[in-house]
Amino acid sequence: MCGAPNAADNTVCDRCEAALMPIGGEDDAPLEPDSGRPPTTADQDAPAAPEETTESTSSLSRLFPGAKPGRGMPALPDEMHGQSRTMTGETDQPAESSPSPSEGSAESGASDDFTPGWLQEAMGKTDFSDSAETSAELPDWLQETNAPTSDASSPEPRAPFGGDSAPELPSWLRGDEEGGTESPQPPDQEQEELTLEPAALPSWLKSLQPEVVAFSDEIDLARKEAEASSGLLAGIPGPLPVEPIVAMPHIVAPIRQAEISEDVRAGQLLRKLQSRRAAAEAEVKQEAFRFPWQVIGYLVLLVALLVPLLLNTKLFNVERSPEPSKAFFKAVETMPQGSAVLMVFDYEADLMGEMEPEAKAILRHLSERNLRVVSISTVPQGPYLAQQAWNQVAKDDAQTQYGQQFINLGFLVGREIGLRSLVQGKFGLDRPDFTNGRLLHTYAAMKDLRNIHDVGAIIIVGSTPETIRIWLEQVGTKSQQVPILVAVPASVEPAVLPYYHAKQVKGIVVGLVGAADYELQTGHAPSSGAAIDSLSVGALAALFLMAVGALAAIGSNRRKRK
Amino acid sequence: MIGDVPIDQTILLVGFLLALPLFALVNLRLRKGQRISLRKMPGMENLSHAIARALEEGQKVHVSVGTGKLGENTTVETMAGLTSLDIVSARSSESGVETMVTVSDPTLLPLVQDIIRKPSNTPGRTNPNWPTMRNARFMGPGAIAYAAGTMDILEHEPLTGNIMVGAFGPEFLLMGESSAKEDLIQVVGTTNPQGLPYMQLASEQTLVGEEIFAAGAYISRWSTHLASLILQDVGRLVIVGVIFVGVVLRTILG
Amino acid sequence: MLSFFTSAPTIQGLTTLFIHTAMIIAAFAFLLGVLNILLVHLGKIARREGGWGYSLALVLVMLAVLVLGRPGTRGPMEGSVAWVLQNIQIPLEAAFLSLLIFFIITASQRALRSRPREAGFMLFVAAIVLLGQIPVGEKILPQWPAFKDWLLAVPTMAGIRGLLLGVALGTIATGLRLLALTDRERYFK
Repeated sequence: MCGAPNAADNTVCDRCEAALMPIGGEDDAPLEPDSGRPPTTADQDAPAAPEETTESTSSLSRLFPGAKPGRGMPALPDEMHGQSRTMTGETDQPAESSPSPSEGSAESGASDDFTPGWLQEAMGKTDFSDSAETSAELPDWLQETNAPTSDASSPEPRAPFGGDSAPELPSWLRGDEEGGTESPQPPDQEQEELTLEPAALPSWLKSLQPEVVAFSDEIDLARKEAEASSGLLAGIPGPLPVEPIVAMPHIVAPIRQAEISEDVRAGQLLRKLQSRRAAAEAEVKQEAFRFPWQVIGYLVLLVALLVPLLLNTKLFNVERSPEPSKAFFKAVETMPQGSAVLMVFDYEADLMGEMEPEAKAILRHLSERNLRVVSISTVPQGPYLAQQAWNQVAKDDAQTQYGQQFINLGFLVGREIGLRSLVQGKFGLDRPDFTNGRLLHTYAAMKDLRNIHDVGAIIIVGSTPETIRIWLEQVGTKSQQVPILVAVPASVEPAVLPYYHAKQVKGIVVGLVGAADYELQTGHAPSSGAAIDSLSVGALAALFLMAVGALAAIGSNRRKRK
Repeated sequence: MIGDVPIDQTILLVGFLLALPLFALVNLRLRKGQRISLRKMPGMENLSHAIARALEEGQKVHVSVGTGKLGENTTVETMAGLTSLDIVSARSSESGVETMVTVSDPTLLPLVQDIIRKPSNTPGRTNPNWPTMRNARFMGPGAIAYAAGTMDILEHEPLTGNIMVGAFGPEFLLMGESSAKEDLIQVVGTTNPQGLPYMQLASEQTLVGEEIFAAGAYISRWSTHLASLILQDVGRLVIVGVIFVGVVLRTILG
Repeated sequence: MLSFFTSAPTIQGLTTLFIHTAMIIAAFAFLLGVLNILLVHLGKIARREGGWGYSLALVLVMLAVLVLGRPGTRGPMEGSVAWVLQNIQIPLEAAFLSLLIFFIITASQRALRSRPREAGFMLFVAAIVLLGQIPVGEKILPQWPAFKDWLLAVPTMAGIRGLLLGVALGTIATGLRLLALTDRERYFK
């Protein structure tokens, strides 16, 4: 396709990767659709070809008198060679460069009938006995016509077809063909013609003769066509032979549509994929180059979070109590001593760092107020985490005892379904508690508590908005007289504030800072000072990294735009 | 209170009793061939394209129906996830691509197994060896346990797409980042305001809020889903009207 | 659902029956889940798939905890189980979620590159709220926490309420479909 030369055994062009087909073989595409096929025995035995086919083929022969069948140039049937000479009025003598017809063609009997004697001799055919015999049988008038065939000055047109291949021919002519019409020339005369004929052309005329092109392939053809290498028009591109321009259009190398086999397609696809893979690998390498920056960012963050905890710093103090937190404190403060509180531990270990300080601050306050705490949970880890929080509070206050101030009911299966069951049913005093496995009615903390409506308040320590919503929907609507207080992580604050404003929730404690603030309200120093420092420094580091990232992104986008 | 039923619950009951025949009527008209035009929803278009693109690659597509559970307040979000799974699974099986599902609620396990097996039981495409056990996995009951297991699948299974529609909280980011790291085609959606910011960060194709309920209507054009979508829009108009009237009355009457 | 609108004893009794049935189903479904985990990971071990060592560890730990907390013991409060919870499960979960802060940084970098305007605005608002939640914000500007509260209570809440109203409508519509049994064949064939 690109015209670059390729090795003969190449299937794909080295330069443009187009698929290549072997040129000049049997599959070769013909220059002229009707004339290109090489002669075969079958062809010659076949019925007569249409007349125009013959004409076009003869035109080819006229245009390229010395052309030999080869790559890109279809072989002409031998009878065509003979005909070409006679029809154009050229001498029967071939040009100097004219090669002898192919052996295969010579073997064809039918075509031999039209082969001039000189050519037959050149081909090594010496058996003319049949022809001599038949010539004796010819009528006189036909013998007369035969006689001057060797005379270059008076060429007679011949029937181009021989034998069975021309059934439509008149009988007189058929008889001529059948008998092997042509009388051989005497060898000496023929030899004379052969030697004299080239000299008949003056040199000045020869120099004007368009260059005879030896076509090795279509590319050569196009190249020769494009520029003559000799004669008056040497160096001028696209010289046209004077005579053939009427008979035949200018010849150009045909544009060949590459026929791409499945294998070639697969190969191309493979190469494409390989190039993509290489690009992807390069991209990955580029990504890997950025990797240290990400690690450095992570390290900065890690150091910011760890240093305050390790050094137990107290850099930042909580100085402000939000309104919902004050309301929470006030609700607990106003509860009558000895009353019971249902405390819900609906958080899991993942948010323990934020939830446990809240739970401990509230438990401590309840314990100091001498309120009984009944804990329950709708998440599997909740009972264990509740027990852990209580154990830490009880460690600081020797007077509190499990079963007196605190009891762990454990895990409530079924979440919403379980909550509805809890609201509609009873605590089930004949079932065991979570911590010791003793029946509930044996504990002092469960005294006078039959169902959820007997508690003075419900405190939900929940890590998700759904938890709060479920409790409010399933329990809050059924026991509207029981105040509900919540403790949530900072991320859930926006979701629960509306409940506070709608008075469905009486108070809120929010996050680690809220826990510290609650401890301050109860008169204790915040136990999570270092954690608040870690949170604050970590937040600042995260903001710093985000800002750096934003600047880098802006720079990168500008570079891309440029 | 009306009788022993609080007023808000009475309003809910009346609303429900009105909505049910309206839903049936709209559904009937749609079944009779009435055509409706749906407003543009970029997230849903992205979901459709993402499924197609993921299937073009010819590898498994991972679907998560969230960390919600059946029988809880996240039931409806989980159902929306199941609808997405149904669509993805049907399209995947047409392309001969397996669908992998992970769940955090074991109650969902038989349900998702049935859904991913269903297309293989369709006449003409019967495939008794469709690997439902390996492709429908229970990861763990908690959100974090689920996220940890799913991260492993996203990073080590041969996947091209990751579709996560359902109830998700902050734990989504753990999975979303794994998905982004593996360069998977990702479409995500949730109703949880806690999970949405993380989704917006980690994915460019996010179904926000109630958009997750529209998959059946937008992609598969199921009449019942279209009817419920129309009903939602009617309800939306009613709510906007009520809010507007309330604000005007409150402003005028103080 | 009827029990939500009436307290008739028959309805309440039926409700309780259904609730208990659902709880039993949920408990057995959990067994199914455990079986699924076991089969999937035993298969991985048998086929020596990549990471089969982790599968082996998972199966061993799962079986060990099941044996330690077998019926007749105090379950999670049993000493050995409590030790596993206290020293493995809880630290692992807490550490896992704490990875979020690192992932947020990475995700925000990517979002800033692909959608600079939206991501930039979101992170700017996040920075205001973050500083308002820690004592630093108040030290920078005394009004900072109040501004943070306003941001959460007014614009954020407006957005969340709009979102939740839409979700509620979607929930009702989906509920209607389920009640009208139109989706029954789709999910519960």
